[in-house]
Amino acid sequence: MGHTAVTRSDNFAAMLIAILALAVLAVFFLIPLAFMVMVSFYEPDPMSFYKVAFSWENYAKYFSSFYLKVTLRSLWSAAISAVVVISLSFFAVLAIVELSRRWQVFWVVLLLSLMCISEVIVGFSWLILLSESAGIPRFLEVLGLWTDPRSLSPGFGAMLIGLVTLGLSIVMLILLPEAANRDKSIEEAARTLGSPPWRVTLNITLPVFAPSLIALTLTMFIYLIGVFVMPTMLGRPSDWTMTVMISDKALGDANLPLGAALAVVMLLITAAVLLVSLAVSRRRLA
Amino acid sequence: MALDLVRISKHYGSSVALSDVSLSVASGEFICLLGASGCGKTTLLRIIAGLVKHDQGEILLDGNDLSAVPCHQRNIGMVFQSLALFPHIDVGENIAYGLKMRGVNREARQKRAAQLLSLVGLSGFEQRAVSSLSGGQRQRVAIARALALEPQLFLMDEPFSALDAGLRDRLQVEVRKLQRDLGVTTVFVTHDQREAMALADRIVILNNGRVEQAATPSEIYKYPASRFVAEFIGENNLFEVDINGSEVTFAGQTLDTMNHVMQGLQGSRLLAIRPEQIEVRLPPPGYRGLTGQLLQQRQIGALAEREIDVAGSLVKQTLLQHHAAEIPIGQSVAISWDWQQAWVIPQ
Repeated sequence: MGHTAVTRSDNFAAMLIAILALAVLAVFFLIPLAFMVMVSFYEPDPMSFYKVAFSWENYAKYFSSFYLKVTLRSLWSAAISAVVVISLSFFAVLAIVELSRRWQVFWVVLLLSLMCISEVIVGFSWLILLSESAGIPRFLEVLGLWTDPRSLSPGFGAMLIGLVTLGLSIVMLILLPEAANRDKSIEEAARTLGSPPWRVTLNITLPVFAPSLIALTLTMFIYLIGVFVMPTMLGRPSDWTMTVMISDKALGDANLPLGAALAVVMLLITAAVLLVSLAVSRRRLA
Repeated sequence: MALDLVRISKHYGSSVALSDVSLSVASGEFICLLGASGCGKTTLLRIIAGLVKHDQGEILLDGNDLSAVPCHQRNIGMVFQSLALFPHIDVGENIAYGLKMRGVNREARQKRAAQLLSLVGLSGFEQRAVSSLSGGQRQRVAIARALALEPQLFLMDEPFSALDAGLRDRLQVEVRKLQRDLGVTTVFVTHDQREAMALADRIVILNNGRVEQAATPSEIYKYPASRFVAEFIGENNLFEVDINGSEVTFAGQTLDTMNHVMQGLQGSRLLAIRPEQIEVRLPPPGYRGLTGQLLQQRQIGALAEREIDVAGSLVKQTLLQHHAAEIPIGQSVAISWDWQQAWVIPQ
């Protein structure tokens, strides 16, 4: 009897937590999403953001070459940044875990500190570092490596650098414990079987880490596709991503229905890319 | 291939892992490095493999110093304690990995993997995932992988420590047979003295980074070179005896015999006598030898164990149960032994 009572109260507690989670999800995600989908079919009204109606006009606008190009740029910039972030983090973390305990702690503190810095400050820092007068171009000129230095920002490259900087500390902090606690005897076994260290990293360590790296790449892709500050600060208007466009349409042009339609399409495309990537990676890892 | 370790030393900061370790292993010999945790046996094995750099000394394989040769160029097969199979590739690819690194073509690799799997009794397992294997099967795959390159030296680091007793015994027999058939020089690390006794041509006992004794299992059991070895291997009764002229005393009692074992020795010496060599009986009238008080007698399967107090020191006797005559607990008993089996530990 006692056992049944405990089980029932456990079930009730679990159900309560599930309902609470569902409520939070509904209030903060599902309801705004439903509202956004609804608004995406409305007509624009400069006086009050939108006029209630049912129109496919906003979606028709999306399929113009301009927005398709922006979409491709958004996907491309997020994907390449995510891959660069994961690659740099993976090799950096493998090096950090080989350091002494004191230096490992130093790196963890440094990475945590970087995470605390606001996106805007990171963006400004890169603006200065990439500027013609006080940054990297000037430094290269002093070294005699660049005779005619020009500012490297704004630009697509500067925007990518900003995106990579945002992801690095997060990914490195996630990978650090896994790298530190990995079974190194697998790599040692490869060495005894004739693999030089660089082949051990590529043939053994990388494939063993593959599931984590793929999951992190997809997570970073989603995170970076939604970044707003870096494209606006470090990119030219021709480099802007869909996030900036959506904000520009919805707030700048007061065209909330078009902004909502662009956001819905972007959401669907991102979800499709994710699902395809997951399916492919699962098949490869199986 | 003969292996010679010459004055190998290794320090981690201020702690000494290995100190002046010298050892010669003959070609085709099976050596067990035996010792408690932290004695330096795994460090020594890893130094031989090239996974750890030693501070001093030489590692000579058939006279060639391997000290400067990186691990991946040493051609040493090693089985790790965790087995360290590659989880992302199948059994066949695991075994053929070393051959792939050497640039052997796919067909030859597959043929060799099939040969080795047959050798370890796992024919047809090429396509299996590592995760689908049992503990014993993984063990066999790890051994096959280490042997794939026909190594000059075969190293094993406590490979059976995670297995249950029955499987461990079976694999010990298989490994020994395999090693004999292949004739490969083998260094096997274990902390299990029973395993070392069962497997090794010679056992090397390490303590605090030093070699205490390197000898055959029988020699180590019968003639321990130090107090540590006498206490570490099996059970032993150690008597700190005083030899004065022809008189040998222990705890103030004169021992019953002056024997060839003691001849030429003087002063304080340590005498080692195994529990199975001890004889205990009721003292006959006029007995003048070593006596003690029977503290405990217990039966463990076919064996009986007795504990006797001799002036504060505990003496143990082991004998077959059906040879153990009933003696009341607390009874004063005469203790003797066969002097042919007694051993004075060298100073």
